[in-house]
Amino acid sequence: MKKVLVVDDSPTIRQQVSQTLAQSGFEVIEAADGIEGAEKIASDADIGIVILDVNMPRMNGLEMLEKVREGGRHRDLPVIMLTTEGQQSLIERAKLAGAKGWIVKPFKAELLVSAVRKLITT
Amino acid sequence: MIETVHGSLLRAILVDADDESREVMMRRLSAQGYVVEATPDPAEGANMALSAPPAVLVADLWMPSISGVQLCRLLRAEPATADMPVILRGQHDDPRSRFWAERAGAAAYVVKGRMAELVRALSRAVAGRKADDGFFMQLSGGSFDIRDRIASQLDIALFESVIAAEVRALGNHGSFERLFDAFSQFLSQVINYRWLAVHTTHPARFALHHHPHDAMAAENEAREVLGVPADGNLVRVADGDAREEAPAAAPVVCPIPFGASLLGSIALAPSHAAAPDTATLLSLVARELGGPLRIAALMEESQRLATVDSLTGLMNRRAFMEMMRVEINRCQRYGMPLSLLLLDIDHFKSINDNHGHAAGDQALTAMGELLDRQMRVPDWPARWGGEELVIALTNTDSAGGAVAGERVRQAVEALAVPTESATLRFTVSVGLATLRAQESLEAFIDRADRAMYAAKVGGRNRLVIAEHEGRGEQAAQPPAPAGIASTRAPNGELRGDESRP
Repeated sequence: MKKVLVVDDSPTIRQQVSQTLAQSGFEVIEAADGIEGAEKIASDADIGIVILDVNMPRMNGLEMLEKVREGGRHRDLPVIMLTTEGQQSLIERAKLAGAKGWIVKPFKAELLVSAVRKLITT
Repeated sequence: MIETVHGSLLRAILVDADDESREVMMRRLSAQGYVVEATPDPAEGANMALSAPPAVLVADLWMPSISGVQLCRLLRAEPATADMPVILRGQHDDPRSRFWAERAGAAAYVVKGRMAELVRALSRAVAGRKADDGFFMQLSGGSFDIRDRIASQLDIALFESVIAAEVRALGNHGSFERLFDAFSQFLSQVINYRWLAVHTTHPARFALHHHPHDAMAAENEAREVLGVPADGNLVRVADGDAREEAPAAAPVVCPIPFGASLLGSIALAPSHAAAPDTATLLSLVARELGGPLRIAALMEESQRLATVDSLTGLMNRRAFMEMMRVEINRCQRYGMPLSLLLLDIDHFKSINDNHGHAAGDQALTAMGELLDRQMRVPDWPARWGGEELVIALTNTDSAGGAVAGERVRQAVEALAVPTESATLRFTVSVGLATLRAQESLEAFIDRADRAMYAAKVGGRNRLVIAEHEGRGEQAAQPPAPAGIASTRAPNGELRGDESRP
């Protein structure tokens, strides 16, 4: 099974998400902002799903998502936004960029796990 | 939860406080192919819907703690469930329940127990909603405070209806000026702005509220935003209720509708402190402002029709009398002179007889235009009735009145009115009276009338000055061949050449 990439600038959230997913048997790698996240996706073909924060320094999650999809690349890579934001305009923008879902923190562990299990590419 | 969102089965949330009814419904809806999650508690139902929006939600209209109407309004207002159809159920097929359900934004209202109707409503609602794009939303850890949210929804609805009622109540102000003054006082309490402008097209009116120090900039910006050309026709309210600061956000413009027509536009420049929902609030206000604006325009028009003589365009007799009562009072209190010219067109009957009544009307219209053109701003020409016209000369003594009267007489003499049959030329006989101390309006007018009659008797086309000291008017100093047939001034001098103050 492919890896889960968790992109969040908060080490606490990263650790929490990674642990939750690791306990359910997923292999997890982490990135601390959009630039690092985009680099990981470009260099690692084994990434099968991305859990992506919105508010991050340097490059935010929506910018990263749009950059990753640029020119039709990584079209099938599922992305779930995991953020504190609930603004409809941001959700619409994520949808447009091809995100699969939007989860507002604090999240339920089983929800995230079941979403990842369902969406991850093999 | 996620599986059902993405599965082919449609998820439905059922809120029903009655255990038995809920069980029955669950079975029936499951049989229809819905994956049903049921709860007796409306708050729990709302939480379930907001956490992971289903294809449809069914709730009772009347439930303990939270009503179906409140629940529906809340779900409509939340982005996650704004497009999710809600079906409300009630005990009775009464119009009020249907009305409430519809106003709350429900997709349908179904009477309890009518299962076929419910199934049809469900299919319609589900078919009508936006295509499922596979995107899922989980907008919280599952603990919205539903009661807080409903309370804030109610606050918003209440605020909006109070604002709407306040704006509608402005319809009591009888003129555009007063309406705008009151409106700006009201709106500056609700929105922080640098300037506020209202423009209507029929009638063409333009009003602006700004800070006293910001007049030029505010007017230029408002005219540009609303497309109002620069002219003198502006109602201006300048006070500190408008903010004095550098331009912040771009001006917001809203059309002002009235029924199916468009009355004009409203615009304001938000200040730095303006709330982010200013545009929403302004459009609410604009929707309600159409009625009061229309009422003010109608009242102004009816006021105009009631005070203006349609033929001459001058004040009518009633409006003149009203104005004179105020004016006489003022002049007597402050010891200011007030003079009155009474004009009667000479041989008017023969104009009518020889050229027709239309020609007579044209003569009167021309007189109206002449007086309107000829008189100073503080003078008040009016149609007294028939072929008689009257002019109040404020702050003018007898000598000044004689100059003014003679000027009018000469202007009429020089007037040529082209009609279909001929070019009319005519003259006027003029009576002049100057207000005595303690004199009544009726007595004042009567003296002017008698002076005018004396001018007629004296040969027409002349001015007669009423005797000021109470010895009866006299025709005196008959100037040749037509001109001031003046009554004698106390010292015997003709003072017609003195200029008026």
